[in-house]
Amino acid sequence: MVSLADVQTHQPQPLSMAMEVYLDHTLENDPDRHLGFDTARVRRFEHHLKEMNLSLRSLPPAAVRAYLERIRLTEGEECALGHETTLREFFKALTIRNLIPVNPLPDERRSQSAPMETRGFSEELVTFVTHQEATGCMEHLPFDVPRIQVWEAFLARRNKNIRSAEDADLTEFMRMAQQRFTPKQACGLALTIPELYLVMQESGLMENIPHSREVVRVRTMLERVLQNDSSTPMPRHGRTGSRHLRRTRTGRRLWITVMLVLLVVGVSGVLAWQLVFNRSSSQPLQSGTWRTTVKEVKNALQGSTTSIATTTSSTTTSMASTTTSTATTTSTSSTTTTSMATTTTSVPPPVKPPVETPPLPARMLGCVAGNCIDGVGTYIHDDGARFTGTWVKGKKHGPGEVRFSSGGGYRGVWQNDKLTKVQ
Amino acid sequence: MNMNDFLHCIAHHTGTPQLHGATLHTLQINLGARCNLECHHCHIGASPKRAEMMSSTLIDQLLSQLPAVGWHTVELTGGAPELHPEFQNLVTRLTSLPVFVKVRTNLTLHVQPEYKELAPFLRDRRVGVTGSLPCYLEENVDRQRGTGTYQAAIAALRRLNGLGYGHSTELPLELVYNPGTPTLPPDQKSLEARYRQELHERHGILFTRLIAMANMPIGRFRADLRARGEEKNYHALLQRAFNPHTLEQLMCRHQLSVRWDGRLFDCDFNLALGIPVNTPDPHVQALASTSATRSIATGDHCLACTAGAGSSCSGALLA
Repeated sequence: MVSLADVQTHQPQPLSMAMEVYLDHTLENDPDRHLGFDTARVRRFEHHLKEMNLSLRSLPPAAVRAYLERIRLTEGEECALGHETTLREFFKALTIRNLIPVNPLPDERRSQSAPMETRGFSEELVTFVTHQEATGCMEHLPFDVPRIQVWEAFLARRNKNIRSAEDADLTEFMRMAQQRFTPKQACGLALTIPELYLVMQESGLMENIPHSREVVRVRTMLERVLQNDSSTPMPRHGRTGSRHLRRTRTGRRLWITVMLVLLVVGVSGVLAWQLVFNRSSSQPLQSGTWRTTVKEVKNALQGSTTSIATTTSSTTTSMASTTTSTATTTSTSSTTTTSMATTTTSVPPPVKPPVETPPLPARMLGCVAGNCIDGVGTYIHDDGARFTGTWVKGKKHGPGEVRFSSGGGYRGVWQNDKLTKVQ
Repeated sequence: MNMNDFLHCIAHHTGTPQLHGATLHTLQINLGARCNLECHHCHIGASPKRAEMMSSTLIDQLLSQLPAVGWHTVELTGGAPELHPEFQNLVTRLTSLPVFVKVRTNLTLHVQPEYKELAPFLRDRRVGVTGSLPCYLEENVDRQRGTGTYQAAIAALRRLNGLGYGHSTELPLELVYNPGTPTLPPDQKSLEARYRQELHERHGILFTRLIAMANMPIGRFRADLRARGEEKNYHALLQRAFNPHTLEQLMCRHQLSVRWDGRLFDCDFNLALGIPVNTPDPHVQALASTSATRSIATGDHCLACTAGAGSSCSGALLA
């Protein structure tokens, strides 16, 4: 049996900076990799360096070779090959991030049968790249191509490809991305994959493209993350903005539609605000009031559509007056006191929203308030658990409170994501 | 149709004596009936003497079927699933899939020297742990599960806490409560608060969630009820406490269980009773084609899931 002292002294090993860089690199480039073996191998190598009093920054290639040779002799060829593969990726990650000046184990004899090497570009990927080139959106291709390849790898595991992917696949993929990648990486995928399918549709390669609410959920998370990390530029902001949208035919249609919908909603919003304000001018605006306002705007829009289409007679209800005012303003008429019948004849047909915007998730996820990297912030996990407190380098560190979805929780002091003192 | 008491209750409240599945998001894999403990309440009847184990061939077959359904959660259970010789290999393979993997454990194995590396192994793969702890008091646990099990479970929980489990839902540590007497479990929320307070004050233990389960009148618990002449009373209690609001969330409507021999069941309790799913081929090879909206096989025992706030492998069904 293990003694209590053993239990208390057994602490998980903290990750070194090199290890963190390596894990980030691997998750980004090869998410299917079994990191359990790799982390163990890297840890063993780091331990070896410590024993030999060697530094990663000035590591001679001979030392790495000697280390691998010793494993080959003591543990066999297969084991050594595993270590070598891991260390190659490890050094590659460190070189890319400039943590080491020279790669002591350059990729000279990389196996030609490695899946990343042999995987050719699919027709869909080539189409996407060609389209982006033609529309002048080349600047994001270095991010888009690996993201699409991750998507392809995910589909291949399910015996599918880009064209045969379904809604459920996209949903699963986004869930997986949220679990395994950082929020920004997941959001990158949520931006690229739908864009890939828009291009596919526009190019006539696909008619029905997969949709998933998870995409919206992940994008929402991105907005939250970026709000709290203003130092990092938004990677795809320009892409989703007006410039890119207006370059393509589909984009132009979407752009016009969105503008019209925004115009109608904005005008209706102002009128609904006046309605609410007039009705309850003596009461301060509270959180519940906003929901009422939105609902009224929605009702007003629906009422407008119905009443105009059917040319109903004038009513004296407040809703009818809202409808009249909305329609009048939309048609830029200067008359605001005309009757319902007069208004309906002078207004153009109302704009129906052609694109049904997916509703936002009922529960916001990710960092919903404050700063969840370095500062005080509130983070909501996808299972509903919520942490409010101090964050240092993305970890819970300092006073805070965790509240699980069951209602229970702890308040106390955290250190490196662990609750060390319960209050 | 042969109407059991459960279907009578459903028919009385819904007008139809049928229960159909809804969506499939959880797959329970029962790796075998072998366990290092022999608990009084165990519905599987697990013990060190049982030898049933899922074969490697079956595991391969099962894993090849998994991606087609798109499961959200895969739970490994038993017996003690950790005793399966392929356990670590299976966990490694499962965690490479886009599913959340959870292990149901009796906790006591984690402090045995030969299983010392198991907890870090699970932690590294972000596997959720659900551990049995039927009470926060030593005497109650030992009476139900055997002398010394409480201390072993506490040591295991402290170890898991030390590895990062239980501090947040990134490494979830759930505890399972079930009553020691033929009664319904108390309100899960208030019991959880009590568990938090007692376990922290006594042992400094943290956990993410408490799962309060009603005892299922099957297996050893049923034999115990019979021996004490309380079987009918318990059945009447479950029938009286039938709550139609629990029907929507019944776990059998959202999950499937695979037994060590590859047969498919609507839930772990039907698995223990050997009542397979109502499909022509209730075997793992038909896992992908098993309909989510299949007709659920039921029995009188199902009343334990619909009594009071409801009960499932994930705890109470109603807040």
